[in-house]
Amino acid sequence: MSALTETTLDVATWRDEVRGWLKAHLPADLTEPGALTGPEALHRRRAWERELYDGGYAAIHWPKEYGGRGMGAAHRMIFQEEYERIGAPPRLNIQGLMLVGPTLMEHGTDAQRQRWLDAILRCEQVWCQGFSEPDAGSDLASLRTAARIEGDRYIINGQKIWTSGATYADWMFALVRTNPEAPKHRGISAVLIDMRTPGISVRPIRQINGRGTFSEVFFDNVEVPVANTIGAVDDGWNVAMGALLLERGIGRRSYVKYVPLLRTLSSLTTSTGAGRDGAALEELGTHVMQVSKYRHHVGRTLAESSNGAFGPEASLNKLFWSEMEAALYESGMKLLNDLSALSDDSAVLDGYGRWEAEYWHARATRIFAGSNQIQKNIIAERVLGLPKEKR
Amino acid sequence: MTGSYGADETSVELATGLREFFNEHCGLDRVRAAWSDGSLDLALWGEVAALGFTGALASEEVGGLGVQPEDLVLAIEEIGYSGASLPLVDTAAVVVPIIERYGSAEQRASFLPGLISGERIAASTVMFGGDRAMFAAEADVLLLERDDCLHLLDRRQFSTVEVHSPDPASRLARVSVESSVLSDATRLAAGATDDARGRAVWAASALLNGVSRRMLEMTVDHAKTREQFGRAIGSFQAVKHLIADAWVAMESSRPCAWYAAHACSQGLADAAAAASVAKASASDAARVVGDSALQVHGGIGFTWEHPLHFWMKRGKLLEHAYGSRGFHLRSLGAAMRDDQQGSDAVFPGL
Repeated sequence: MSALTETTLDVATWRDEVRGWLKAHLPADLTEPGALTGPEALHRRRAWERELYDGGYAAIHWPKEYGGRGMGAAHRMIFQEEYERIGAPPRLNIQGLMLVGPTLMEHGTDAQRQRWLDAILRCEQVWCQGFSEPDAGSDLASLRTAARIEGDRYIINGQKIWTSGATYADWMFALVRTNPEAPKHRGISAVLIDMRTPGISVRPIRQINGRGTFSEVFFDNVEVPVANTIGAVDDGWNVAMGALLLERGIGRRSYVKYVPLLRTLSSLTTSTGAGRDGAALEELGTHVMQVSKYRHHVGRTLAESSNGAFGPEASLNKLFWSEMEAALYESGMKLLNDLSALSDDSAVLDGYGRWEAEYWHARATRIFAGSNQIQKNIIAERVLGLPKEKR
Repeated sequence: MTGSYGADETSVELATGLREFFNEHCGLDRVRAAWSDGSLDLALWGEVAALGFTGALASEEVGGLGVQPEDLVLAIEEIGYSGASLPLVDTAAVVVPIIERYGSAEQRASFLPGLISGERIAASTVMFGGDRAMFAAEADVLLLERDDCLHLLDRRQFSTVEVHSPDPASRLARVSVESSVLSDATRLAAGATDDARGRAVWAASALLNGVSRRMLEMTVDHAKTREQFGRAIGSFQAVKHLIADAWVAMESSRPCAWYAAHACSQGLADAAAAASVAKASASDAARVVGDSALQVHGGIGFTWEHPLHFWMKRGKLLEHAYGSRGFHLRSLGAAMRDDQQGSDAVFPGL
């Protein structure tokens, strides 16, 4: 029991430290609602990432030898909870910190690590992920963006789509087809591409919420050094599978993120006069239950995973929060409609517009990072051991 | 991070012990027998009581094991999983610890030893709904909730009438008590009611999660072995997704009961909300898992011969007892409505 108590104390101290540091350092203008991707906002967010780096908080989960603090999943989750509690902006370089960095540590050469890891940590390079293509969504392994080797360079032609942050990213972690003759999983390579290379063009997609946060990226005879391959040429599928597990895993969002949304739903319920209505309270209570379930699911997963590595159970995580989030925003759409019928207060209407944009975004979460139907297949096959379907 | 979430040693040890016991002593034949005989299996009861389970939460001074609720919650799941029809959960999780904490010296002396040794059987109406309790007709001791107070009665002070239940093996009965019986001598000390309600709710949630876990396990096994169109039905996505949904509902519900037990034992500010989360999610899971289970089993699941229905019916009883999904969700909605920043009643520490 004494070991347990020590861990508990350590964890409480860590929470206090993080809470105090964030309170002292987070600029107030970064917690205001508004666009996060305009040039000015991006400048401020880069500065904030640099501030996190200087404080030693850029990548607490990275090993010490690469500039992190070697912290395990529990400490990382506490950091995430505190980060969300104070309302700090989404991490600008999430792909670099969560996907590219850990992948380089596992599969990269020493030279590659030296070249990229520190720049990721300092947020000198912002990364995006180039996996999906117009004809390779759920069936990612059928991707066709072609990388032909000429001497020590790839010549890349093709197209990526649904790339978050492509308009401002400096680098892309891409999967490309290096061997069109091999079985589809065997001819893919993981390649790091400088987004300023000639021949790359980026076109933001105007989404159903009016925003352009996802882009198409076109490659027209783009020359990339073969030395930028992570892992062996044609072995990119294996490299990417580890990366996808990281993408869906625990630690990137906590239940705390959803508590302000619950408070908003609660005050909307009261403002619309439904605060004593049994059905309205039941609906509000459903969201409280879901957010609590997410909290305890994460807590349980951390308690069971001492080394911070997660298996296919991570599929539950993404499936759960995306469904929870979509349902939460759904309830708000109804309440805001009711409220806007009662009120011409401009604050109400501004809130409605922001909520609606987030509502549509929440619908995207059920599709991206492996659609929820794919997640269910993974649960059925890899967690429960049901036989694979003939494809 | 708060709570051990079932991962610590004592909790796993207790659960493993009980699982092994039930594997050995309560196979399908014995589960089935309780349903066809319609009587409490006193021999099995005696064997379980000998393990000390009913006194698990009682202190060692009074002959208990002195463990904490969060150490017991996994073991309670095992009871639901086993299909054993025994008055274990209310006795161990509610009646015994409530008597020890809120009973007079006289009540403690006259009730605890027999309940801890298993010589006497207890029933509890706390949170069940109405004046109903499982195994009330068989009970020697009744914990009765009346007008927001708890009373402790012996066999001569209450009578019972059997009432309908989807799960006849849980021996549901309505209790009647002459009002002259209730007095200061039967009443437990102030605070007992809220404490007992929380305990009854998290314990029922863990029990129900165990029921769901068994139904899901049967369903996965069936989907792996039953063949149609020349292949196992579990290879079809339509079947996979039914089962995956059931698994998500169940696995996201289990840690809620574990946390609720922890919040109860530590007296955390969100203990009441945590109990409601646990029961609402366990009820949800039992329904989703039960529906998927019956659908995936197809015709065979609709027979008396197949054992699935024992767990389905127990699930149906527990789903609506101890506060239905709607009851607990409305409580959570009201708690959120009344929550002020920093009040800690729903999400503490924010």
